[in-house]
Amino acid sequence: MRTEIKVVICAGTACHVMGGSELFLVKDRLDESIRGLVSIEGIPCLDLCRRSAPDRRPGGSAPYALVDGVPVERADLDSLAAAITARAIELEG
Amino acid sequence: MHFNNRAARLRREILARLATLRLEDRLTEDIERLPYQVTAPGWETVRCCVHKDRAIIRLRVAARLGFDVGAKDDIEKPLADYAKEALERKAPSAVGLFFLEEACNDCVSSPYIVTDVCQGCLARPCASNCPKKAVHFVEGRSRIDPTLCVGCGICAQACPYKAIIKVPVPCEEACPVGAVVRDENGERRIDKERCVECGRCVRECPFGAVMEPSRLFDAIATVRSGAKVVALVAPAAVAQFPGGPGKFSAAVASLGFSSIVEVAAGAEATIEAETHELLERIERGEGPLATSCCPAWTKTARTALSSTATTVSSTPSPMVYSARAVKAARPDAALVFISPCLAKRREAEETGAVDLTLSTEELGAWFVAAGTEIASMPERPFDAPDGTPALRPATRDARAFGASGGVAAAVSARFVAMGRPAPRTLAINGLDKAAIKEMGRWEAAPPQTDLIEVMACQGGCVNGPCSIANPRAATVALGKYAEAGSD
Ligand code: FES
Repeated sequence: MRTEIKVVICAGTACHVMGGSELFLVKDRLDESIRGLVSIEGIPCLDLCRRSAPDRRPGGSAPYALVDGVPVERADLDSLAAAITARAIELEG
Repeated sequence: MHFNNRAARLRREILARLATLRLEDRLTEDIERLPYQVTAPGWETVRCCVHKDRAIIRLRVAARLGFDVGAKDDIEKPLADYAKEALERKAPSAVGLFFLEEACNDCVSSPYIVTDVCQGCLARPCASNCPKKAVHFVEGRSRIDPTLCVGCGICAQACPYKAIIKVPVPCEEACPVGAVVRDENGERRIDKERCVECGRCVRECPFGAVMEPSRLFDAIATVRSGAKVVALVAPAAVAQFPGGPGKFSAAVASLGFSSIVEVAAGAEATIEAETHELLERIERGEGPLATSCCPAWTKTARTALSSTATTVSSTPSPMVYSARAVKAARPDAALVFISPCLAKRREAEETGAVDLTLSTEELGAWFVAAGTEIASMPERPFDAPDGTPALRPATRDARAFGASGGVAAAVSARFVAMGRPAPRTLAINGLDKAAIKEMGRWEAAPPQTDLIEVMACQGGCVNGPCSIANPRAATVALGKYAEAGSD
């Protein structure tokens, strides 16, 4: 049985500044067969920016998103859509 | 190009890293490590090798420290030396856009090429239709002789396989005023006389080769000097960040600005003056008047169009009016104007209205470096010019200045409020090559309108070259900010 894919998008300041604001439009990039499975939620700073290696601070590899709990680093519309699609295929198989 | 891309991310990462070093007072000590940190494992090499990438990043860092590093020998100088100079200077150094020669890809100038898709067909319409006989066949495949090609594009249209493509030079395509030129050595340069600082090339160059000396360091130094520093925030700046105006105001204040003044308050004076100027002009029957608040546009009108094509209003911009109000109330305060615009840097220099201009990209990097979390900020009202909390927010119409159509709508509303018929308006939404061509025709045939609103950026200031939010999201945010304004 197919379950929902939970996408959490970091709406914290570092992720926003590094280009995260458009991630909320990711559904536009998904295949129609997958779109219905995806729930999108924005939450304040996931704290991944602050917990990154000292050499990567500030901001770490922002923008971040989580696909069913798995972080996507330096996320953009393409990489996030790809991660969601991969997760859908994984669930299917 | 899509506004969000690796070049834009790199720009912001370098800014945020530099700001961190500055805020933690370890700039000269640690700056040499910065290019290595950026290219640490995980970095995908762009040029021949990571060493070349680092060499280019070094120059980007110097530009972000506020220097014009267009020349080749700038690469020799240690970053620590740039850093020392940046820390010691009292006023910002260079202004204007420049090419980072090392980063420039020297994009091909022959506009049409035949790709492998060519089938070498029997009909060969590319060759038979070429008016210059520039197309010939080599080993059964079409070839274009670049010395004969005049770039008319007929071959590309004629090919049934779409095998002939035009490889654009993105910066030259983007520049509406022909300011991207080649010097005697064939290197690309910005012709500063022609450049209107619209920032299109900065955005469109896929190699991020067009840069601009940042003002972030000067702004941090000003705030740290202990002086009273007033942030003048443009509507389009407020719209770049999540959380709404109250949290934005608090976030900017948390960086050390002593008060946060809405530029929209100055826009109210602009609306008033623009309305009267237009009324008089209509009464005198002198033809259409163009708006004056976009500095990329006013320079375009001055330098790229004939003086009879358009008349630009003499009304000062909201930046100038809001700055005047603050200076009158607090002559000792330092003024920093914040917006997504690059052209405002020149307007600031020419008018002397403000001490510094900070882009929203620079402000964002400062937030990141300072660990500012906008969402957890309290709500803070904006301030009046004298530094006390503002009694009312700026008006809806004034806040809407940041989007295309906003200025014309505000002036029209004033006409109606005065019992006059609304003026006819025409909006030029984005100053690209086509728009300038159209305006060139106005010399012979002026448009049948009263007010021409020109914004160099498509969508308005909210989509300026240094914006950080998705244009759709920022436009929605600007709408909400305007809605929350007073009547
Ligand atoms: S802002 Fe996104 S993880 Fe901190």
